[in-house]
Amino acid sequence: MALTPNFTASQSSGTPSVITLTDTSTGSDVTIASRRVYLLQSNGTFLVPAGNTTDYIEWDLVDTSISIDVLSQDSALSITVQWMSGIETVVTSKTISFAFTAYNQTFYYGLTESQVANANLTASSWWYQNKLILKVEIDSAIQAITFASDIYSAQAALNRATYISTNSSIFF
Amino acid sequence: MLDPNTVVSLAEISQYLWNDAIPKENQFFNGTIDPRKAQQLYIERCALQYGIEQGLSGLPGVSNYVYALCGAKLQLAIEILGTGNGGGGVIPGGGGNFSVFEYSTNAVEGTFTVYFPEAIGKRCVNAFRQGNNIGTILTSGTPTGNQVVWNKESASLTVAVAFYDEEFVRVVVQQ
Repeated sequence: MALTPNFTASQSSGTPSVITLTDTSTGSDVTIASRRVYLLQSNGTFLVPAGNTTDYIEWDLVDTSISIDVLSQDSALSITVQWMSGIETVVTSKTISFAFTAYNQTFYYGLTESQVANANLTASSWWYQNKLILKVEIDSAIQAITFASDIYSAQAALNRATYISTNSSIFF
Repeated sequence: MLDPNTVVSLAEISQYLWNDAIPKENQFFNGTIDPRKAQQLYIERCALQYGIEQGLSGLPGVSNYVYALCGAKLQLAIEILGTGNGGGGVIPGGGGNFSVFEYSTNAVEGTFTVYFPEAIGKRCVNAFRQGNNIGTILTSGTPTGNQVVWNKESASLTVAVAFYDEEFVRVVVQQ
């Protein structure tokens, strides 16, 4: 049966810099000898871990999943996985866009934790207003990906969210 | 402490109850004590859901905080969550994150599990089986007596007492 390529991506709050890809392809193809990953950013460049000398990241065929420590902030990425033959030609590939939001989601959760410790925080007029803006930016990024695979709009929203969370003393 | 997933459901129900109540209070009582209540519930419930999803620290505190935010709508929300109705019927909806959907099937005799493929990923807020009462809806473990276990990953409902032939089973789920 021919290979039907597919994969998923995930990110954890505890290690937001790491994205984990899992190969969920079905079928097989004996000509496939290697696999590689491209992480395309909204600015048109490829994201790679420090020390990586190519635009892509090798993903060993024996590994079902790969963890890539590559993010320094929330990012919208168009991820392409290519399954290659022994002569380095692409046999098949799959591209999916993702919004990785763990940095801002964790910050957002932390705001609620702060409220639990000090309920008076919400008394300020801008607390909920800015918290809601942060939520809208995160959701907008997810929706831009979900509905249109639009990493440009998603990254713009994530950049606005990141500005809020990294300048929290101004907003909260 | 209530299960945080239950608190999420209560917050979702309270949110729409508040959202409905605030315009009425504005119209009939010339204002409301807290016009931001529905938005607050939405904001904090989203945080709680992320905390549950990621297993973050401080979850009991956040869960209790959201529970308390439900305020005056809490009792009605508990009633709706427990019975599927209260203060008016819950009408299966067609969109949005807070819609309630109803699915049904007929079980195979002697089996303990039925599946509702359209309900994958959704929370079960109520269940019914023709041949037996349904008690607590668990989300893990093994049911005993009239308990059932809802597994949202596989959208399966498992009972302790085997189904009879073609027994009618219905679930009400939320996003």
